[in-house]
Amino acid sequence: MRKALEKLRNRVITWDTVKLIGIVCLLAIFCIFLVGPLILLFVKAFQDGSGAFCGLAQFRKYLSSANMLSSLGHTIYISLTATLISVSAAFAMAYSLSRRSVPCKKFFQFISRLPMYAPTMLLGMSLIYLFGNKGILTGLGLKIPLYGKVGIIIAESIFCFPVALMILMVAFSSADNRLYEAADVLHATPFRKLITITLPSIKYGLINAVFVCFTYSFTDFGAPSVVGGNYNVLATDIYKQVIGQQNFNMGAVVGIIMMLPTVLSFFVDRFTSKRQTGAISSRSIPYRIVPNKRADIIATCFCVLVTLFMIGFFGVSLFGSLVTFWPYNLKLTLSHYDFSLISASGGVETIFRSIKVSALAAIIGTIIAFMAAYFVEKTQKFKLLRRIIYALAISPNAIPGTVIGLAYIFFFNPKTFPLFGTGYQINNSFYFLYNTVALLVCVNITHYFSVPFITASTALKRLDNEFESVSDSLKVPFYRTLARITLPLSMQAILEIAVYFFMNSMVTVSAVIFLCTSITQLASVVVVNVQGAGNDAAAAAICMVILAINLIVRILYEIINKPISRKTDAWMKR
Amino acid sequence: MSSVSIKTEGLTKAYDGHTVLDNINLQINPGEFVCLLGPSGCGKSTLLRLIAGLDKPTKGKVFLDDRDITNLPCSKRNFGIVFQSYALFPNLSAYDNVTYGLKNRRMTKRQIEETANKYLEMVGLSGAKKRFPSQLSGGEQQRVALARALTIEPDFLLLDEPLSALDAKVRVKLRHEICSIQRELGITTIMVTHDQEEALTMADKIVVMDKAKLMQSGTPEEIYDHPQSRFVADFIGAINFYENEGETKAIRPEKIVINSLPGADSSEAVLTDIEFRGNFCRLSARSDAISKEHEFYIDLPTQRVRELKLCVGAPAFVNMPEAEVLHFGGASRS
Repeated sequence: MRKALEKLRNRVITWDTVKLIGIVCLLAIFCIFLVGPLILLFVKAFQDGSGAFCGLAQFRKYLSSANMLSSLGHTIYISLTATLISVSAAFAMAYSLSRRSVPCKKFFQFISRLPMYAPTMLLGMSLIYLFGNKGILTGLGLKIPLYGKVGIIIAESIFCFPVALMILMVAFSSADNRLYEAADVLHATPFRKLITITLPSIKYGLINAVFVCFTYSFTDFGAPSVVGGNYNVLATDIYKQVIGQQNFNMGAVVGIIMMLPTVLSFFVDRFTSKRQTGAISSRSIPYRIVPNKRADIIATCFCVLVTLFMIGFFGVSLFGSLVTFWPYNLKLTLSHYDFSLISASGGVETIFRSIKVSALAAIIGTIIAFMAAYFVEKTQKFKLLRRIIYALAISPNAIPGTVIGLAYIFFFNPKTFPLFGTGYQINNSFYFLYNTVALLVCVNITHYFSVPFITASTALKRLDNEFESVSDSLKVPFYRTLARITLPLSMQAILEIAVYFFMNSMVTVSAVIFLCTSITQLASVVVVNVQGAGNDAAAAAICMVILAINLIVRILYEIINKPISRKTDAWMKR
Repeated sequence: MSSVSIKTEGLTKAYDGHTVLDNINLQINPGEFVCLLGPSGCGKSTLLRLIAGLDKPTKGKVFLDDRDITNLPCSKRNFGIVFQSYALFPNLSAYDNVTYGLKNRRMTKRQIEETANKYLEMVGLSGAKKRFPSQLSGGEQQRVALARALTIEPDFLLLDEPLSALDAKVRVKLRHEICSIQRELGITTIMVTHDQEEALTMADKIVVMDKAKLMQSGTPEEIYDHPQSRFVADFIGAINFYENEGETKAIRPEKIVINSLPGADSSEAVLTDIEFRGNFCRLSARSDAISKEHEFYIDLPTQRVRELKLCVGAPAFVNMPEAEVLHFGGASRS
């Protein structure tokens, strides 16, 4: 009897079946939270307000409106300028940190990451404190036309700086010292080494940084909403169309236009990241810094300057949030941190809700991202399904937050969907998610899914595929190897992913601003509302709280990570 | 441990229209130690993976004791495997690595401990139980991998270039150890290697492969003394090829008889180089009577070179005993 049962089990349920069920579940999740909303977004762009199909009429309307077209031009202009500034600065900084002997590198890197930990509105607000009508520097006679393109460009440049720095640091670190030694032996000048070795080796990193920065500033909502003034850009256009004029169809059109450069950037990234990995072989020797006093001093000065700038920049908002009434009454006070005064929908609970949403996004997002990466990397069968999962998992990289937010409204808000051309309606079984905290968690996971997925894939790729073969031959079920070997060895990546989800969910505005209602308000969205209502100090105070929470999480991560990386490093040494 | 026979019938594997394994028929007897030998890319590792069930063949069948296991998944075939990279779990100690396959087998703790100790002792690593793979030398890692593969008492053992990542000395030592463990357990074993010396010293049977095809199989002596093709003759050991009487002939360097004085059937040759190799010397010689184009090599014990007072430029007399000459048909064929 038992034998017969075992035989049956051997036949019917193999571990491949279990994996297949997992893969299908993942596909279903992607369909509900990514594919479905996007399809509806595309459908809406080809419909008029009543829901009738109108072909390209909406697009024609968009292209004939001078106002709309100007915002497209504005967005391209500020994105190009901000990209140029941030990539140049990041290039200098990355060079200083990786190729010159500069003290306190860790500290400089940490400070230069500050813009990632705060909502982008904070960058705009610091600018107002510095250059606004009553700004410190304005008072000292330094007047710039802040509101409009100048303000947006400065804010976006600072916003993009850390991500450009991270990409370029990776590119710079992949140098092969043997090439430099060979060049020295052949008496190459420093300039020739730069042209023939350094630039080619970071080429793809540089291209990637340019496109990522362009996309970031092209799609950012926070900074233009604070310092944009009357200078309209696409991200704020969508918001105005949807929230201001309730013109959802035009919002969808703007969303699709906004996706053009992000999709392009997406393919460039695919192309360059493939090339980048091939550039360095396992035999390469890491770059060794050759001291050069003058260059080292210049590099150190540059790093100090950037650091002072960052500290000053964020310090000014901190100061602004701590004084009674800028700039007339500079008496220190904590009254702006009393969030119960803000508004009915604001208050302390929005901060707790933000933490809750971010923590849930971190936990659930990490599980799903790791599962997806595991099935893609560590399964032999189901090639087609794995390819589909891979494509879906990396595609959120090509979709701006505002577009995802809008698509979610289209998918989750209606109680019923009309069946096109039949007059019938089908019930929307996902309507129950609308107006819930759960939906905010989902939208954040979807919005930020690609980077964690790629991180997990990279970590899994580093693990010997023969671990699975050996386990199979030892007849150990796959889940035991997953739990005892794969997960422990990927712990560092898993923590990194969780922190990424958490921090981004804390600061994001673009996607959630369409989905937050009075009962699901988030701190970052409150910042926009409060700042819009003219209460800069309170807005700065909330930003500071978000920044502080993210800093604490980051520091906790470093503390937890240290023993883990020591352990992982131990087994990596041969 | 039981011994099984393994048989493949017309085993073929193609990736994207490219044939990496072409119609392989192989018979491995119970308890036999078989080496799959060939240059890299000849398909030997693919053959091993097909027998393991890590890949599925495009065509053909695999039999275990006359039982068709072609469609049996890897985890249902009872075998142990050792990879070139060892694939030891870096986060587990040597002991935990060895017991990894035992924990889900309805064994008591004591049984697990006994089994693990038995095999750790067999590979001579009783003292290294608590160490992690990174704290073990390459040879020790390889032993742990071998012990781990043996604990589940497999029907057959697969070794995928197990020694190629090791130093020369450790390699020779492990060769002997693997052989003696294999003989002690009497377990059917298949080893993939590209090292002919490894194959000649370890195997009961060598299977030579080239370009996805099986070239020849037989005992090391058969393969060395009676290669059936030019490829096999050339791939295993050193050999001189020459064309003579419209036919391609070959002879091993140590089979050529050399003397300082002319004798019956000998032809005159000029020594062009003497390469000292320790216990023997490899002489290069040219003889118009044998080949006008090519030099040929002669291996001679160093002692004998001294006795004959051979030196470069001096004439010598060589003789190729007909019984030792290999024939490979017409000269145009290769």
